[in-house]
Amino acid sequence: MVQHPSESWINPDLSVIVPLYNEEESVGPLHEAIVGALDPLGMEYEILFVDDGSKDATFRKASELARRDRRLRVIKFRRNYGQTPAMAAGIDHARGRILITMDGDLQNDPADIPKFLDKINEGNDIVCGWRHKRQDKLITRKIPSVIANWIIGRITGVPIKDNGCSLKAYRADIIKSIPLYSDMHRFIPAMTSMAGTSVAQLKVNHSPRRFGVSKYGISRIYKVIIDLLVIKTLLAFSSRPMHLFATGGLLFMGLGMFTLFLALKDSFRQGSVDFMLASGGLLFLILAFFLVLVGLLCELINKTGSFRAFERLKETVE
Amino acid sequence: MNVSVIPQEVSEKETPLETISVIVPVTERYDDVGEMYREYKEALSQTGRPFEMIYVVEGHFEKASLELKALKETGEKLTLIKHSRTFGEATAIHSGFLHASGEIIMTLPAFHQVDAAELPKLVHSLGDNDMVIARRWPREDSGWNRLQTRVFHSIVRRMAGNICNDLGCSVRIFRRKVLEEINLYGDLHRFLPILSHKQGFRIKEIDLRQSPKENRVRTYEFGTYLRRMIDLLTVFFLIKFTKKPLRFFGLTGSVVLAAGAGITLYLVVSRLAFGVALSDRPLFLVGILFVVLGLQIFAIGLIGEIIIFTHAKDIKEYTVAQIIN
Repeated sequence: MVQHPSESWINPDLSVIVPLYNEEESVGPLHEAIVGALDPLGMEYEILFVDDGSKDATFRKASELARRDRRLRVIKFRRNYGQTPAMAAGIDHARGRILITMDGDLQNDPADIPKFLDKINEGNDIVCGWRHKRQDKLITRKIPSVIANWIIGRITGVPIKDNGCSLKAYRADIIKSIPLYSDMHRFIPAMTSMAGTSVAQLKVNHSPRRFGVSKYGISRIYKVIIDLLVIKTLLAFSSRPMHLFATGGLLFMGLGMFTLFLALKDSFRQGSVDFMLASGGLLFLILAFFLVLVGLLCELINKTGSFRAFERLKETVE
Repeated sequence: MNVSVIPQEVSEKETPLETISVIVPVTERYDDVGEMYREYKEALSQTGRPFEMIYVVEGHFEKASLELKALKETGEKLTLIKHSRTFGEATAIHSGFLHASGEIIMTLPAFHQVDAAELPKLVHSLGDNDMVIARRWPREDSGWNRLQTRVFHSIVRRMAGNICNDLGCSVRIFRRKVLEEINLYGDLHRFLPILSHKQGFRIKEIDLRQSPKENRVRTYEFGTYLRRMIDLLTVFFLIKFTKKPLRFFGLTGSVVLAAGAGITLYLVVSRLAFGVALSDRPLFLVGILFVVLGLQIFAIGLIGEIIIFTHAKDIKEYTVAQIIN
């Protein structure tokens, strides 16, 4: 992780970030396509290829290209870490004012990039691609994706048609202030738009896979749901985690009181307490207290950690 | 990224040999210190590489540190670090590392494990790898111990992949950057190969002859293995779920919660519809307990997520091997 802040780089207007994993056939055509799409625009740009621990010749081919094109930088991971870390690395190392992320499998079309730049220049903070004519398998790819996007839209209240599309454009200062880990790249639009940034969508071309194999599986749904729950919680209560847990605590306190009341009510009529019901009520009360304590603990973590990313984000946008 | 200042004019393209820093933690178990020192020193001299010996003596082992001091007085070059009390082997290795000047680090036990004559083999096989670990093979051990070892390592394989077959052997050689990136504490030194693998380092395991002097009748208490299993669980959790605690807690929590909710619902329905009194059904308590437990697990997972989120900017999830341009 050697940075060269001292070197007199002209900070480019645009950085294109492409995570690559076992894409030896795609590297060359991809580089050509990006250069072909960006050269006519006449702007300063850089390309970042992030080799996510490929086992094939991806890195060798990419570095050969980099030797000839000094606008191309190649970051090689020590092993395979996944798409989000690869994008995070690209974003961390990017120097541009606008960042574009895209897939390395040639399914995204670099010719769409100028449209994205226009949208950003219109004043949007984030522009998401929407693969409206998606060229993938129906059962294993498209249907899970539609379900996931529907769930994400319902829960976050941000109707992004296609969260999974990698082709996106960001204002660099926005994306650099967002914690990006695990599989969070899928939720960037949802996260940021809830934080008050403006998100636009653009229909993009999508071509079928030419080389290699898809690196996704259907098991994503569980992960998506859990991640979503996390984001929803984090966002809704980022500044006041106590509220979430206190609400839960009150709920169970009510439930416990109600159960206890049932037990005692019977006892007045029959003269004996329903022990099962009474114990159940007490258990609910214990849970209520536990939740309140957890809430306090979260407040403590909140105070000591840097949890204010989203608040800062709002400030920069306004 | 070593920049050699002296231009090499000799046509021999041999790179200058890197110094090996040998760290020997001396804790509860150690054999004759002087004898071990001489054996190690002789074996390492055969590699023809410069090396230094660092002994880290833990707390209450005065005898060992006195012997080492005596060795030092006879003119032997060794670094002696004394801890004020016993912190554990991982800490000992760490403080030895802080005093190590070599590019290559080697850890050796203070007792007989591997035949010292085999050490040059270990040094030579480092090559391009970041770490080379030894497996004592052929192995002589009591049947009971062998069974335990086999069960333990099959669990390790299941969890972390097939990278090591003898975690108990602390004869290891690795590059400096390994310990620069990995924070060792407690008993985690045992799992260094697994943690390094997770960091993306290249690891190789080689077979070395077991020392004929290793005390073979030694049997471990049940408690030893229990502690190791707990450590293994910690490592497993750290590797798989550091960044996504709720995926672990969420799954466990929702299974327990669903079971509890199912039981409770069934009993409440049978109470309302068929009039089966709840006081006759102790299962009701189990159901509610499960609901409570499930939600508690979930809440703990959420705490984990909040901790990760608040520190996410500080923890890099990836390690960069190289940047071109």
